[in-house]
Amino acid sequence: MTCFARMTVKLWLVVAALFLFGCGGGSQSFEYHAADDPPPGPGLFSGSDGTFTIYQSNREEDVEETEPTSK
Amino acid sequence: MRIKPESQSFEAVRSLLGVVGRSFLPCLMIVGLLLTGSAQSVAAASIEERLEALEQLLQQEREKNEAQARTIEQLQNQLDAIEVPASGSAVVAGQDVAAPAKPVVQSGNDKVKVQLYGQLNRGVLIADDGDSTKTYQVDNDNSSTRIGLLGSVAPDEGWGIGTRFEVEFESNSSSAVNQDDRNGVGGDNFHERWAEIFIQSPYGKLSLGQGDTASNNTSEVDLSGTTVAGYSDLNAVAGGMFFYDDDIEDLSGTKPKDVFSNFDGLSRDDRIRYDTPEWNGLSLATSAISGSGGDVALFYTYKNDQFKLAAATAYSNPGSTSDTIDDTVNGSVSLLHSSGLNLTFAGGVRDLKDSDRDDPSFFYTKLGYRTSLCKLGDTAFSIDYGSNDDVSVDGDEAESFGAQLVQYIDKWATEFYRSFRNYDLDRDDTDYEDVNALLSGLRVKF
Repeated sequence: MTCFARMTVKLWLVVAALFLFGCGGGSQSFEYHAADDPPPGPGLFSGSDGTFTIYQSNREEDVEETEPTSK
Repeated sequence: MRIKPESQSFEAVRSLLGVVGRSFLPCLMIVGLLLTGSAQSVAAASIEERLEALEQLLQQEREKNEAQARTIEQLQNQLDAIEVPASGSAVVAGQDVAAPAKPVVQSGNDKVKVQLYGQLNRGVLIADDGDSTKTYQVDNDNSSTRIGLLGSVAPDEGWGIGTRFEVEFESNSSSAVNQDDRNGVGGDNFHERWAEIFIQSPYGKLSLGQGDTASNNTSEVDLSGTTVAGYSDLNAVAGGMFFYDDDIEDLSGTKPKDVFSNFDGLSRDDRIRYDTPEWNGLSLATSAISGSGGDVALFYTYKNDQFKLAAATAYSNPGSTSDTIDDTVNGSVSLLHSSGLNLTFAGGVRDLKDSDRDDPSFFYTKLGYRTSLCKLGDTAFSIDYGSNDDVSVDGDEAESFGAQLVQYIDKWATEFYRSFRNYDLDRDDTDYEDVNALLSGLRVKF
């Protein structure tokens, strides 16, 4: 690893630490979409859902909303 | 005179008529009156008959009108009951229009959801190797053309099961085309990405089959919004090109993909994987791949009013599935400010089985900005830099600069992108020209 890379790693660790421990207020997690996955949100043909629901039972409240992610 | 007798006769007649007239005139009047009264009675009866006939006619017309009104009402109800499909096609003739439409696919399980998803990502790649410039029609390997099927069953007391099947179809992958192979690269076939069954529970998620190992994507965390144009996988834009060697004045046998790598764990593979439940944005995952390899990874996401942060780090050991790699430590972190400014970093180091070789290393950073410049949608810009040392040969120093632009077109669920990437390789006793590539294209999520 080059000197520049090592310095950047250290810098980022400092930034991350400051961010994690310095930022107060209401915080929460979020769902991350992998870089090479289709983007979240609506599709051209599938509409707001972003997927074509081929089949769904009538008990919609029983079925979790899902969108493909790599995680 | 003979006149007298005549005068006498006349008088007699007149007298007779007078008697007759006086005697019969009242009778005639009575008869007349009687006759007149009879005629009036007859006329009244006729009118009544006519009135009755008219009333009957009106009644019949009223009944007809009521019947027609009922018929019209029924037709209106039937028209209202017909649901025109989104495609605009009419209901098939012969069907009971009042009956509700039946779904095309049916299931006996009343907790099932099945979804189809996918995208097309096509572009034009212009690549210059320092000697010549060529143009290629490509599938953008930053996020390939694919299609998938998700199935899920509603959790029962926290327990649920699901499936994911996904394949990609890359005709002329941007990471595979090169100066000697410009067309028909990759074959006309599907390539596996996902074929897994997963079980979710309050104790975590267990996945079995082809899919992400725990360490996959741990070098690729990126919140810039420009990943379709470029991210830490530097080879995705034009990694298949040959470097041009000035010493021999010909193409070398070395490609960017030989000397650049983001050490992104064990990729996708046949594995069994376990993910812990998330705790304050933190989760742990581990997987064992077919052939004795395994890995462990840590994921973290955090957001507040001003920032979003995502990070991942992993340790992976491919075991006997690799002849060269012993193990890898890698990670990435990306920070997005509410202003649109974002920073990304990734890095890793790898230990090789050949103890005489230097340990290869990788470093990547990106600076980006996402904003709204027009009504189409957001616009995202970024510049990045990546380097690799000793990946293929000890002493190799490979560097890459890039710039990315993505214009989101929200109404069409489409992204227009343009990506520039420079590949530079310094290798002892060689004189390679840089490879410069410009990739432009569209990604459509369908």
